[in-house]
Amino acid sequence: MTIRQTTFVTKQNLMEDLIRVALVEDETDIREAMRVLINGSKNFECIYTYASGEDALKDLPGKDVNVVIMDIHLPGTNGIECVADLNLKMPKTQFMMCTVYDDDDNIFSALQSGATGYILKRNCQEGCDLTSTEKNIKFRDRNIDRTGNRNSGLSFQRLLI
Amino acid sequence: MNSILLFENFHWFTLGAFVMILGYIIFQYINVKQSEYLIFAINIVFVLLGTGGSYYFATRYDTAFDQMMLRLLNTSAHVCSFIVNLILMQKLLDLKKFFPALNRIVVILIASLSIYVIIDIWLSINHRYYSGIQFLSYNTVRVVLIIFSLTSTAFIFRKCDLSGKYFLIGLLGYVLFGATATIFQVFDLLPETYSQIPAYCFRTGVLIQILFFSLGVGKKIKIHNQQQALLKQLLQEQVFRNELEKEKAILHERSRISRDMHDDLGTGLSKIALLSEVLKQQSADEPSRISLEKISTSAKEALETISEIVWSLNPKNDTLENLTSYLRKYTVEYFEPTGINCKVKLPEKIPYIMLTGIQRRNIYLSVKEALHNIVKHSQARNARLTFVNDLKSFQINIEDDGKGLNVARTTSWGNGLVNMKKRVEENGGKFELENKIGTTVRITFPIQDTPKG
Repeated sequence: MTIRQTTFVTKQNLMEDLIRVALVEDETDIREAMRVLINGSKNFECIYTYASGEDALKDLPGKDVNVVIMDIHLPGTNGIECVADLNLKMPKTQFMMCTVYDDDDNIFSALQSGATGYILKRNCQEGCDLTSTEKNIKFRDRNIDRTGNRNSGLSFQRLLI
Repeated sequence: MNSILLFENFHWFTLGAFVMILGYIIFQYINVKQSEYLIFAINIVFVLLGTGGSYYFATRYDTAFDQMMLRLLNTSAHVCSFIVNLILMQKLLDLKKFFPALNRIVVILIASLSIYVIIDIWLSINHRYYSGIQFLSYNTVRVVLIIFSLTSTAFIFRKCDLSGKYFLIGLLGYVLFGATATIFQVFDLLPETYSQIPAYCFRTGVLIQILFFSLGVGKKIKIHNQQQALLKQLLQEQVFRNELEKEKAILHERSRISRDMHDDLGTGLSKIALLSEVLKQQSADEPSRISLEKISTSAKEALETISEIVWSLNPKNDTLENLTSYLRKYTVEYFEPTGINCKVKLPEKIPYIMLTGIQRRNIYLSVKEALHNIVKHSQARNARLTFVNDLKSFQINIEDDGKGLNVARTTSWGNGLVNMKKRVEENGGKFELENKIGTTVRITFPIQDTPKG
């Protein structure tokens, strides 16, 4: 178990509590499958699911959620814009991008808008600890320049494995 | 007496000038192949016949043949020169295109003058000529042409370009001096001593015309060349634009293919992977769990392959920087489940270098093969991928601390090595293999001058 999980724990001060996850994904099959898989993982429960960025923006703020897993390619308001907005309203929540491919540009803009990491859809599997598995969290805590400075951005794009 | 000598000198001077100009114009024609020069050369030949030739036969004037030739040269040679002048006017001013009405008149004039010449020659050969009729008809022709030239010049002068204006000024000079000569001849104004004056008047007119004709044709060639150069430039620009558009279309197509693969195939395969995972979770039956695991793995592998293809198709990725970050990502992911400890080292600054899709793919596949060898054959515990660059080359080192490579026993994966070497060398790179502590594969590519982007 890694640092990240202890971060959550100290945040909540409740060892036994499950990490509450909200999922935003437009494809019904993928959304449902991921929900089942997240619920099947120990320590996690998926309590909210949304089919669009607009729904999430309307409903999520104020909800007690630890992690929001956000699809990058959403119709309408895309995942990156959605994270940028929610990040301001939900300062205690972590945002993870969820994507089919790990293409640098999208992930870079997602990190700029406040996401803390990303998950490849194909790597969601049975018993997988979504937020802590090294394989899934491509991005580890480093001194990130979130000001959007492209030069420092480029160098940390390379740090981004 | 003096004046006669003067006339005599002028006579030879003009003839000499005509011959020299004829030579010059023929030379010009050979040089630039402009048909106007040839037509004008023919004109000068007729002028020479009408002046020098008639002088020759007038001084002999012995036989009936001499008389016949004198008559012919005095009339038909001059009329032929008029015809040639009309043709020249038609061509130089492009009457057909710009002044179609005038063009019709010119055609009629050329036709009737040709008929006149034929009749004149026929009558002269058969000695059925009366000098009175000849005198009258020839001067009628001259008067008609003078009137025609003056009115048409007045009519079209303003609408002509510079080369046309030069030609018209020349024609005007020719006609005015010719008209003076005609007036002197018709009204018989001059005493015997000055009887040659009309002829010299005419020759002066011819000289003026030659001068302006040369100016006009020179100008025309210059304009023509300028237009040609402009046309060539436009054509080149068009070709360049076409190339650019083709390039753009190819890039566009590449993007489209990669986007389509990205969206549809990616989502579909992700769905397969996820749903088989869900099914696996819900299934207690061990054989089905194994099969579902296989489905899930196959879908993931297919996704990885598509991810590679999408990456190599996307023109946005055509840089060295992108290749290195992709290799870095790939290496770390590849070693993660193997238990081999892997370090990747990148230089501080990666030079801006454009790579083609093929180059990128070849380097990528070579590195992939090297990593595969480490995992499958080396029994290494540590591996290191280092990128080094200096001003002249870019180097990728793949090192491990395994059992090393026994070159003699490399039959099982020797093909992989040969392929790597071939791939690297086809793209102008250098492939090296080192066996010290473990194995080091070194791929070096020269850095070419590429424009900064």
